[in-house]
Amino acid sequence: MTATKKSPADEQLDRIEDALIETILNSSEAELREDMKARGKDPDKCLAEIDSLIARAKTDAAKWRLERAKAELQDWRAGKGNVVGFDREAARAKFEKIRARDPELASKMLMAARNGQGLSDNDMEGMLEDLAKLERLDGEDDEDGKK
Amino acid sequence: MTAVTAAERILLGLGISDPTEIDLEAIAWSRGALVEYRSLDGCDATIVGSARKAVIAVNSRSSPERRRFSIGHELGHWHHHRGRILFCGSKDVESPEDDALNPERHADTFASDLILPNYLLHPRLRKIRRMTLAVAREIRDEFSASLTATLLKTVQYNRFPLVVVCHNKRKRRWFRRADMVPGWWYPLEQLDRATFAADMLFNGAAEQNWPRKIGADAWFNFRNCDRFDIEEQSFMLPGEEVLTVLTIPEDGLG
Repeated sequence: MTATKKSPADEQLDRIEDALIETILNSSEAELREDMKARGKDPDKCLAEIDSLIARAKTDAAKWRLERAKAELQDWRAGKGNVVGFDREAARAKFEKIRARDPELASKMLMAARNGQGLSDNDMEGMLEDLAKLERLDGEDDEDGKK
Repeated sequence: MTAVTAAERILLGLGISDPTEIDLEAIAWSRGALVEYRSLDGCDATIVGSARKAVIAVNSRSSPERRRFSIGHELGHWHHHRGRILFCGSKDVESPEDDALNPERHADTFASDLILPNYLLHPRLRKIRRMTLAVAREIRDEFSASLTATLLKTVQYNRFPLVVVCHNKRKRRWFRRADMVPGWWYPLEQLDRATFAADMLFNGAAEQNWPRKIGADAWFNFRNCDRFDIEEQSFMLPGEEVLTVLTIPEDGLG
């Protein structure tokens, strides 16, 4: 990858921006307030406006995250989530491997079965399908990570 | 001021400012979990999780409020016990029984905070002068929660002098008391036949539209409790259980 070379004018602008930021960061609050007053601005009003701007930006970003989750979920359901059929044997093998590693799960399954409240064949089948879906979700995550 | 819980932090991070915005499926997706509905026979909900992603299955035959609580409960497991396979039976989900060490209760607390977050519920409760079942049902509807979960959160808020108690035909199953109510208001183990609750549970009487006054000795047995009148209002729960909201009079608060 090659970086695009900046023009001398752009480099100059960058330096001015850096210098401005540095001046602000190195100034005390009192100096900044005095500077604002000298420009005919009310520092408290300016601060309140900036605070409200930041709060609004935070809320908008948060709401956007929820909207994005809704849209992604819809896309998943219309696409990969809609895939019918899965490798049952592979899913069962994976489940058995997990059960062997998790004594709590194994014991809960055993206890539930003894009490007549165990998972039915239908429940088990659903869980295997969930495992297959989980693999697709994990796979998608890997793909996104590579992009 | 109440500290923000983990579930509430998730809601705030998604800009949720109204109970109608609590879209649990989208919230789950934002946390890496997919919610599916199907008919389950041996449990209410399951979660199959890896380190980063999870699939939550919820019983499609449960009521909408129950389904919501089950999603919240499984998200609680996802938050606290990531990367596992779990299945939760009807007694695991939304059980008000006390057991701080039980992971199912941690998942329940998470679900309750997700569906009835304090930062939205408390301002709503502050507008209420008197808690009745009708008011609790209004709030339940606004938050799409169960009536039991709504009442438990209301008791926890400690604005009203309430004791919420659940009985079956044999004994008291559980109860919760607002912190402002002194410990001697400890409900009796067995339901007194003189109570309206017993009339509903044993004789199939209809629910009272309004809290009714009753002598405190029908519900409690501390010394001189018969000098107090309390208010009682009950509703039936599935499985032959009755849940009662008792309002303690101000002069009984010590």
